[in-house]
Amino acid sequence: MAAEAGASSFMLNVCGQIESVELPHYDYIFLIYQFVHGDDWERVLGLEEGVSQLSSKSADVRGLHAFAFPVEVTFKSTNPHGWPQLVVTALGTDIWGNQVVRGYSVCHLPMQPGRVTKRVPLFAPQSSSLMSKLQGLMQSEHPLYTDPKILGQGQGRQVTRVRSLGQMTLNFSTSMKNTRALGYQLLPGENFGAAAAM
Amino acid sequence: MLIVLQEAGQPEPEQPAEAPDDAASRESEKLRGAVKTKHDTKKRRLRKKLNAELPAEGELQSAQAQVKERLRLSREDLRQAGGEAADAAAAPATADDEAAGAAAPSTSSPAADAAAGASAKSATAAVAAAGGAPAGKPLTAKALRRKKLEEEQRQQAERLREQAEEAQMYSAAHAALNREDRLTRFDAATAQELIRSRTERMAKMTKMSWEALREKKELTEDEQVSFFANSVWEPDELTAADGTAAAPAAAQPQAGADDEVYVYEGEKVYLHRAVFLAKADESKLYYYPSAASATPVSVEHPVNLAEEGLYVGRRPRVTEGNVLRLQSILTMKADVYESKKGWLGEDGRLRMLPDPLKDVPMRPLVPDDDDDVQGVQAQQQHQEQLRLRQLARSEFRPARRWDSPFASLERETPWQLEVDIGGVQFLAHPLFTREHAAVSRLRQLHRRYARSEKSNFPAYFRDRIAALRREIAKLTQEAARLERSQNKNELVLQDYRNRVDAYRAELSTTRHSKIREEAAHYSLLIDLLNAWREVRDIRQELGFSVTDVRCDIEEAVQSRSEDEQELLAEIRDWTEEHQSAVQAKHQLVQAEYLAQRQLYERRRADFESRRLAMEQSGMATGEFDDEPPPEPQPENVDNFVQQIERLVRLGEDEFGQVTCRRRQPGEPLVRVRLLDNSHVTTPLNDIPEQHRAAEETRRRRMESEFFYTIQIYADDKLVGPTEDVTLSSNFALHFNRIYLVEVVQPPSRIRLQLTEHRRGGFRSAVRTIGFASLPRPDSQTTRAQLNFSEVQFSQTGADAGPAEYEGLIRSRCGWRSDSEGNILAPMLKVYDPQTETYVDPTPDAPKLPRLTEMRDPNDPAFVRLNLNAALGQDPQQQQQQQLTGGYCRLNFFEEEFGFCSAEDLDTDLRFRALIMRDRGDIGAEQLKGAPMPAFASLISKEMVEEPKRETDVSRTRASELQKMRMRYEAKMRYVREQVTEAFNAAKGYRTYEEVIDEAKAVVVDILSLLRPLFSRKRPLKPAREIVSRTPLLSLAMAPITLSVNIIDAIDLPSPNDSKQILKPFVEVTFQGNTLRTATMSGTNPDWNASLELPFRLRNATQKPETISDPLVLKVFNDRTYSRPAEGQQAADVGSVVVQEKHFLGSVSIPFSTVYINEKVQGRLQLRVPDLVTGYGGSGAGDGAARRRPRAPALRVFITLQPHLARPGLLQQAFDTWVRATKNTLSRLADEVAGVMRQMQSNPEAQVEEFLYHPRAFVVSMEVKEVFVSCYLSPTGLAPPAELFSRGQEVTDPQHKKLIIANYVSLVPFVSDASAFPGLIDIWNTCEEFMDYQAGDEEEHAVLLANYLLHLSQGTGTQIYLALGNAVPEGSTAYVVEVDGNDKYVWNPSLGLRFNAMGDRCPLISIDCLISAGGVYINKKPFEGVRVLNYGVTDQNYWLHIEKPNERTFECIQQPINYSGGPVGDSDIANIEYEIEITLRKAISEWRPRIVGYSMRVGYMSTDEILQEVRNTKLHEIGMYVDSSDAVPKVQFSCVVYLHKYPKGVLSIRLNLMALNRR
Repeated sequence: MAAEAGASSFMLNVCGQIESVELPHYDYIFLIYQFVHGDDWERVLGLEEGVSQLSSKSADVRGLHAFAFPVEVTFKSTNPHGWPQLVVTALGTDIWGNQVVRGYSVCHLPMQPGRVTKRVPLFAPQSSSLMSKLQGLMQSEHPLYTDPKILGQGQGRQVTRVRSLGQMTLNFSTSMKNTRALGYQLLPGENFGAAAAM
Repeated sequence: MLIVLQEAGQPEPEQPAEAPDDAASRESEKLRGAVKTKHDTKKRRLRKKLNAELPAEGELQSAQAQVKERLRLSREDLRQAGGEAADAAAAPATADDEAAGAAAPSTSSPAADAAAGASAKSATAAVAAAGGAPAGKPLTAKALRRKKLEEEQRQQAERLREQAEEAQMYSAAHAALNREDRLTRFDAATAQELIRSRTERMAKMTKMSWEALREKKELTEDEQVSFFANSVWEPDELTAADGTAAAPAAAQPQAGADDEVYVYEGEKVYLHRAVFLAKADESKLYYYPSAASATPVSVEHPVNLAEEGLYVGRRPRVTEGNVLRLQSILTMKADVYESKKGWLGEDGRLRMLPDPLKDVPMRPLVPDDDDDVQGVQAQQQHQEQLRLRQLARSEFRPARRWDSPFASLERETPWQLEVDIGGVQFLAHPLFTREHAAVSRLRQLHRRYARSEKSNFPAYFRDRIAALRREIAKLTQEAARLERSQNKNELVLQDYRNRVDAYRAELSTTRHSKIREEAAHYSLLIDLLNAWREVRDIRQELGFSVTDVRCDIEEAVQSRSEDEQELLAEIRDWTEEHQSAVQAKHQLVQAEYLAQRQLYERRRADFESRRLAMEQSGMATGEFDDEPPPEPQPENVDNFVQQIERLVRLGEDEFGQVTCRRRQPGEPLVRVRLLDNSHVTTPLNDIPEQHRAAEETRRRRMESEFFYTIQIYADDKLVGPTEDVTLSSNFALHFNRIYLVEVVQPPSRIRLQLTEHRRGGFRSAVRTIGFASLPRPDSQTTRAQLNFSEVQFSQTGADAGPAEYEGLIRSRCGWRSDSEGNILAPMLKVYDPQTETYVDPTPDAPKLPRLTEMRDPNDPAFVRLNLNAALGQDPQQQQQQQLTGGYCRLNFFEEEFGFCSAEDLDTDLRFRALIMRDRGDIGAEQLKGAPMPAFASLISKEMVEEPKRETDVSRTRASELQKMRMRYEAKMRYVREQVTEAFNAAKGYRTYEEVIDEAKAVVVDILSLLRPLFSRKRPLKPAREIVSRTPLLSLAMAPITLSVNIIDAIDLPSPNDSKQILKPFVEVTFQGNTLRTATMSGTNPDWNASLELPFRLRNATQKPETISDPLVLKVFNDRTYSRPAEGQQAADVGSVVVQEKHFLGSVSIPFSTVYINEKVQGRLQLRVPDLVTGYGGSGAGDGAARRRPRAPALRVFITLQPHLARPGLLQQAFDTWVRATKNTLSRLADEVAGVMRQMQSNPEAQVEEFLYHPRAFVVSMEVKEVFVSCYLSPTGLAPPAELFSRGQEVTDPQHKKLIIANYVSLVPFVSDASAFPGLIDIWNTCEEFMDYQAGDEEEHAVLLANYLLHLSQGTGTQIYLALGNAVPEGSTAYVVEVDGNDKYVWNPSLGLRFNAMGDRCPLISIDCLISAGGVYINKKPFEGVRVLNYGVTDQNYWLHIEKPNERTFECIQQPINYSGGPVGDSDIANIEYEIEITLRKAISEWRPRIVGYSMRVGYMSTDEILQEVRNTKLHEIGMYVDSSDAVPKVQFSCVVYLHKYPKGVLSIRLNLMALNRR
């Protein structure tokens, strides 16, 4: 508790981008990202939600969607519990021209300072029955999460079933402030861990 | 075309290809050799064929084109083929030189030229061929196909090459070697240039070949197909690929040539230089099999490990589709799976092990089947082995876990055990003769004899006796000296005496032991002599001997007198010792006696003196009747001496029985030795009798036919048989060999199995005749440290006679130590309690501590161990127990893993605040929306303070009743916490609909579309407008009013004064606001008034269902009359108008009822005082007649404006939680859910309004789901008998029921619905209900139903618990009584009975009926109470869910113990007094003028009674406005009577009276 004289919260600044998404099955998609975080976290700067451009997949076998969509946010917190997570929803248009969900993915913002490249898989919920799948195809009502933020929670996912689709590549550059003052030791690299300095 | 030919005519293509040859070829020569030899044979054959049908020009060209075709297909391979491609091209070329030379001259010159052009390509084709081969790890079927194509291609190439060679010969003259010198100075630039030029040429040539084809104008179909259909790329793209294909041939693989794209337009050649943007990515895009690794011998059949004797098992089958899929993934995502290229083996198949769970190919441990076993046990064993073997064959076996405390199991060299087998001595054998048997016995006896002789116990005891005697003598001397001395130390003396005593006792036992040992030895000797005599007799009888045993008997003559002397000395000594012992004992006893005697004398003297005194004073006296203590007599030793003598001399005990034989004086001392002397054995020739000789000969032959082996098993695995050993002449087997056993895991035991083989004849019989188990050696024990142990075995024959085989196996087993003295044994890891880690013990550690800490003391297997430790028998364990604190620590590292101690956590404010926030104790308002502060110092202490606990129940000075109430509160609080916890858990459960938004299934929509088509058309049916429900969120903002519509009333009591007319009005009170209707007249008034009462919440966050304020409707008679003012005459003008409100009845509705049910509609029965003075009398004055015929009722409609949504969410969540967590009840729960679904999908039933939850499960006080029928006992519960014996005995059953209903209704009503937001109702059992004296309608109903069940036993009456909808309670529980055609409904909390079919029946609908046997769910709730007309057996109306006949569903009701209760008699008086005083005080405060009421209420608290009285407005009577402002005199009387029923149920009667002077 020696460091108590310092600040009363620590800051987490993440800037990075959603580089690309590999969704070979679908053409024309765009992304929406959101943050999910715990009670003790407060977004200081940066967008709460971001919507990307519409992308068409590359012509080769990779089926790559390049987004280069910047994600820049600053959080303030007193507690690592509820570390912010980035929830990305990939939306596209189906054959009827309606907007449908193509995939979801979620990942924590990096916990250590420095540069990190992440590859996160994408998944989309599946219809509960064949009938409803057909109906969904007809009415272009593909199953989707009522609130994508549920992906940031552990509870309530057991009722859903999903299919994995592709990958998303993100990179983050993280900087932190005051974590040490609050007794959290966030080190880059392998010996990363949190130790309480009592 | 000619130009092209000219260019093609140059011979260079070969030369640059040869350049990189040297280096690469050396490396891959071997591989190539392998490939080549295989193909050479094919080639030769093909060449022969080709030569036979020599190609025409056109054909050649088409062939060229074909080659080109295939080339394209293999272009990918080409790109990586690199340097090898070139040399591979060169190699076949040289090989085929001669052949080419031979074939050359036959072709014409232009054709040759064309062929020369082709030769350039042939090189490339060869490149393709060679490139394909080393990279020959075809990935897919496609690849295999390509392989085949390559094969063909190669053949083509060869053919072409021959022609190329030919062309070369021709053009050799002008073969400009101008570049050769440059090639020798080989550098990258040159190489690139070379490649470029070659590529250019080749591209052109490709083009040319196509042109040639086109010009030919007549292509065969086959050619076309092979040219076009197999083509993948456009012709102009193709060249680019070729360009890149040749590029890697240079030292720099990604050279500039790669960037070039050649585009051909028509005849002209344009060179475009373009750069591929995604070049790097593209190159990573594809997966190329590595060319560097070794080529398999053949693709189809790689090296067969199994054939080489290795165990490989069979790999699990993976369907081809999956393999192909994986391959395509790996190739397509080559950049992602860069590191995973090793997934595929050389044969193109997935690399995998036979058992996917193992990381080494391994053979399971299966016992060999070469041991033959017999008997049932053996058969079982055999079956077990069979099973194991089958197991081993099956492909999938669970991976075996090595659950072993041994360290470092994975060891390169296995551990080594040494099994030393000394030999086997048979004690019984089928080939034994009588003599052998006798000798065997003799040997055994001698063995024992020798052992006894060696240990020589008699001598030992003799020495011991001597030593003891010496010591005793010394000690007694010492003691005597001490006693004599002046300063004697009593303690020392005592110690001496004690020691002497102990020695004497020991001496005595030693003497006995000596005699016993002597006798044992003697009897052994006798037996031995007898056995020898037997052997001798047999030998004499037969006249020859077959054994080689001789007995050597030494006799040492003893003189009889000396022996006698010794004996006498022994007897004398013993007697002496005994005597001295007895003496010492006697002395002790004597001393004690003296002390007692002294005491006795003193007491006696005392007594005498007192008696004297008493006699003198003339009092009667008694005799001193205590006996003097008996004087001890010295023990008589004579008898004992005789005993000793008999024992020593004859070995007789005290009863004259000979227990041990003794050597008699004068008997010689005999020593026996057994000698093996071959001279003893009679040679066969000397056997006197003929037939015996023959027999013996046969026997000996038989002997030599048998041989024996010992098989060594380590953990049932055969580790080695010994060599064959034949019987020696004395039936012994001498092995004397050490067998080395290598183990990877220490075996738990080592078993030796002795088998007998019989040779001779055709069949060789094998029998197992004995087993011996060796203990597993300690990890510190080597073989040399051990002694041989002898293990006896025996094997009975077919008939269970004496043992057929019997013998001893001498063996030992220990770990081996290597030359440096290291023991080759696995080290046991030892748990060190001090460091709490496992340590490897040093080899010289004395003894390993036991792993006590790991043992669970509750495990019965360790009882003995722990008991030993507890009794202190095992000092080591005791010590360890002290170390570990005497408890068992199963989790060693628990403390070590904590970041800080538990106390720190407890005292940390922040941590506590976090926990409380997690539990929901701290909300946003405490934190003011801010995040949790980072430091504990920033957290205010108040925030974290636990909510104040109620003062301890037992400490407060409350009456028993209050205490009980508090206990109930505490209990309910606990239950509430539990339920809240369950809620919190339930919150996490989400339904699919909540999480996922998806298209509804089509079927439902179709149905809902079709339904209107088939429904009945009722054009006149008024369309209902659905009132929109305001969501709860806006509750705080929106002004909400309680709308009370009072329609009419019936059967109000009429005033006794017939002149008066009843003028009733209704007053409505809610939250302190009071509104009243207009005054009507008559006993059945019709108000039709609509009153709007404001509704407010105390604070914004309060949930409406927790508002407990009641809505009270009161009916008054507006009695207004004029009377003369005080002190004036009647006729005076100054009369005053007196306005009095006379209370007629009231009804109280909790707000939560209105809120939860959304409305209250119907006829409410008014709660009327028992007696309203001045009303209700119909003439005659007696009490019975005054009873009103019908109770007054009020028709109302109450609702909230605007509507609030019903709070049902939590209930559902809870149900979901219950369903998700309960397994035992799930079947029933499903059934109930099914029924509910069925009802809801019934289009006819507009159930929404009626249907609550036909609950089959309720939550009990233990927060458990209980099937509701379990609350009803089939036989009911006996009501207290006291109720019926008040005054005279009540016998009328109807009367009894009324009494009981009254009794039940008097138990205080405490609603728990408001306590649990979300309608969770907790059902108490009757016992709990009565004990706590609190409950709501279910508890009342359950109790009443149980009582009624008890009363109606034997009669035809059926009693049900009914859950349904009633006015005004809404959803509630009633009791239904069905007695033939009469159906009654009991309101249990009021104790009233209604006729179910009457118009007053408060029960509107029934959801379900519950009996002890099950639940009847009403299928038609909209039918109201009328459904009762249809018996419960009617399937159309009732759905029966039977109570399962399982233990879980047994009745949970316990009989109620009525004796005792919280209310004592003194309490009664206190309560009575308190009520009376409070009322008086209150009435005087309220300025009362009372008419008079008699009320009867249950006892909850005095406050409530006060409220009750106040509601009557009693105090307002007589208040009127006086002109003189004088107060009329009104006198009040108030009587309180309190009656106590069993179990502390109290009934209070209040009589309030206002004596108003008229």
